[in-house]
Amino acid sequence: MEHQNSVKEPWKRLLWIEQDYPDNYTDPDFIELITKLRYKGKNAKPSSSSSVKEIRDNLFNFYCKALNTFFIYISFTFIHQYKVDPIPLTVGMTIIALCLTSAASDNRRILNLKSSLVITFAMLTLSPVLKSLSKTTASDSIWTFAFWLTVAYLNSMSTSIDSPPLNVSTNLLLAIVTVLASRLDSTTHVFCFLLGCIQMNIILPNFVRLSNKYMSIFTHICVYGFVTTKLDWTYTLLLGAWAIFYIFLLPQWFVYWQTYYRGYESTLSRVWEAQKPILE
Amino acid sequence: MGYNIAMACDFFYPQLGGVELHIYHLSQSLIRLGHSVVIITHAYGDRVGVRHLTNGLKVYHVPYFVLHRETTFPNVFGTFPIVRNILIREQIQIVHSHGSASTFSLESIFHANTMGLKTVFTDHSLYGFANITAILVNKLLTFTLTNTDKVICVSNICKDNMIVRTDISPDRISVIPNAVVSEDFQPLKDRKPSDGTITIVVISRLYPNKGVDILIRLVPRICASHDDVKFIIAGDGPKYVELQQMIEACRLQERVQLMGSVAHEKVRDVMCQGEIYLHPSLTEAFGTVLVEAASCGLLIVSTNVGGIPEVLPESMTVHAPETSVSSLVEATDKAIGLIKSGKIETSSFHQEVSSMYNWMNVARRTEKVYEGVFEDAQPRDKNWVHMVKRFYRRDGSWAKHLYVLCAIVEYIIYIVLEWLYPREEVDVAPKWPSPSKFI
Repeated sequence: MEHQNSVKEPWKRLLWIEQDYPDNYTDPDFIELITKLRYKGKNAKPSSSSSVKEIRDNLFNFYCKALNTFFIYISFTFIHQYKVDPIPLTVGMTIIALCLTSAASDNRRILNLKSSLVITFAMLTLSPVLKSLSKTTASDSIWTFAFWLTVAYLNSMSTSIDSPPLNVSTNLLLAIVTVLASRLDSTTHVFCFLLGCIQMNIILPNFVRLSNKYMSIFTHICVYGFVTTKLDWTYTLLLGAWAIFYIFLLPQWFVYWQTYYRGYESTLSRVWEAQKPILE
Repeated sequence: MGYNIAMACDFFYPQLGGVELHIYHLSQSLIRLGHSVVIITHAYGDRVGVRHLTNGLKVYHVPYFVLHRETTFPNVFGTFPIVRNILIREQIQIVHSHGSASTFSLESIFHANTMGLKTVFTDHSLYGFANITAILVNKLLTFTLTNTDKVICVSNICKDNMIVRTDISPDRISVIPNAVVSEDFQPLKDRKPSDGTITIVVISRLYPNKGVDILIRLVPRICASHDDVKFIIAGDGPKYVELQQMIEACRLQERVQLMGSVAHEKVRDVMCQGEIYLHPSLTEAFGTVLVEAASCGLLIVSTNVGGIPEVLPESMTVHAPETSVSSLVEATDKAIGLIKSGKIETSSFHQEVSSMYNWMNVARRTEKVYEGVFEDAQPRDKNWVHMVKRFYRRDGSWAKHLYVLCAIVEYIIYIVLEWLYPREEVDVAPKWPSPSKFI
């Protein structure tokens, strides 16, 4: 009788007290919260264009990096197939690279100069080794190998704009250059090829944003021009179609998926995922 | 009349952890209540076949391919023949599985449902939604729990998480907390009179999600502002080296003791060396270690994430409102002040904790869940056609077709198994006499 007279204690979200509620009692606040969120989730509009733009920027940045790797093959084709002398181009690029790095502060510049000298001399010693390293391997194997290494290299690159290249991707780049180097005619060519590739793919992205207007126009002209003249316009068409799908359709699709399929969980998820530590 | 219960999980003795101990203690308490319990797990090293633990707790160590961190290879149907055999042999009525990252537990539930048995699932951890592991585990769990009778979660936050993850009706989910064996976590009887130094204990696997990055920045700050504070840090993991580097860089060798991993039975001895237990974790479903530390008479300093605020009363804890270094430093300062001024009496903690959490209570509440399974049972619950219908009503268009496909294949396998290894030919295992008869 006493039980009926006394007002039932409100339920508390605590485990250490015995409560006069069954174990399967559910927090009414939570039920209300998810009902609201579910309702909202179903009626959500595709999110604002800013997020599409953000994703597209990231993808475009990656696309530019990917186009940039074409320069490995472009320079290789010119040196290997068309017997173009790589020395003037390499000298020109080195001067450009030096000009770009000179913008840094004095201390930094000396450090840069020192390390680049060390790397250059290391490459000079390595060039004859690289040239003969995979000499006995059949050319077909080399092309296949280079292809898969390139795929791995593209996968290892990060899409975000500001992150520095990972060690893995630098190593993969060197591996590509190493396997290709054995097909070149002389040690000088190997050295120039190696230097050029490093400048294009490692040093340049540090100083110039590859996705900026002038740089990307330049890259596009070079790559698409090369593909059209040396292969065929059908390849250009294929490449272009793929690029359009990648840059324009994929981000839209992603945002659509996020709004309609991922549902309301994403708004709740911070509660349960490991919190971010604030390390000040 | 007790039930015949099978506990299924990848994680069990000889591995020791929260889930393993939970299964062990729950089983022991259920045996004491007059039920018969067997455990189905995978083989650990040369621990293959049937083993018996205290009170005739029978453990089936099934030889199986272990994929990653003691989780077996998930393939939906692979365990069916052996699990079916065990369930028939032991005349099981209820299959109770533990842990959503365990293949054995999820597959056993699926098989048991196919065989028309009652099923209960306990979840011990929280999952997000934004990474690939969580997505896979959530899909698998959605599939498994479609026809599961009851679900148990260890805390309210865990229940909320479960509702969102698997979209099952909230009244099928019960919240039953973990417990501790309070006799194993007693404060020191003859405590030496304090010489004024305060020791802060941290026991945690040293992983990033345990907040070790915060700890690394907190220790030097506390050491700088208090001359009479020492740290004992026990546990191992990828962040061990960083802690070591911190100690060397800040020259704290005299004040911070790194113990490496500590056996579970030694945890109490480590805890009893300190006055304050620090818990910087970034995610926690329940936090058994907090209860253990409080039981040893330590004041708890902790972040306020996950299930932590539900576990202990305010009088035993100092919570840091944010997962930031300065917030936790502030909380630690406050705790040191409380201990120094003698404003807090920690000697009563042990008694209080032992009245809050004990395994017998957990077992009784679990027993109620089992009773509920039979009381709420509908004749259609384990009907194959209805189960397939329920699978079809779940989840997205890709997932539901896959679910239905899996279910149908499973039923075909069941029919084949019934024909190949008829039920009648499976020997029934004699039951260990219930200890309740002797008491």
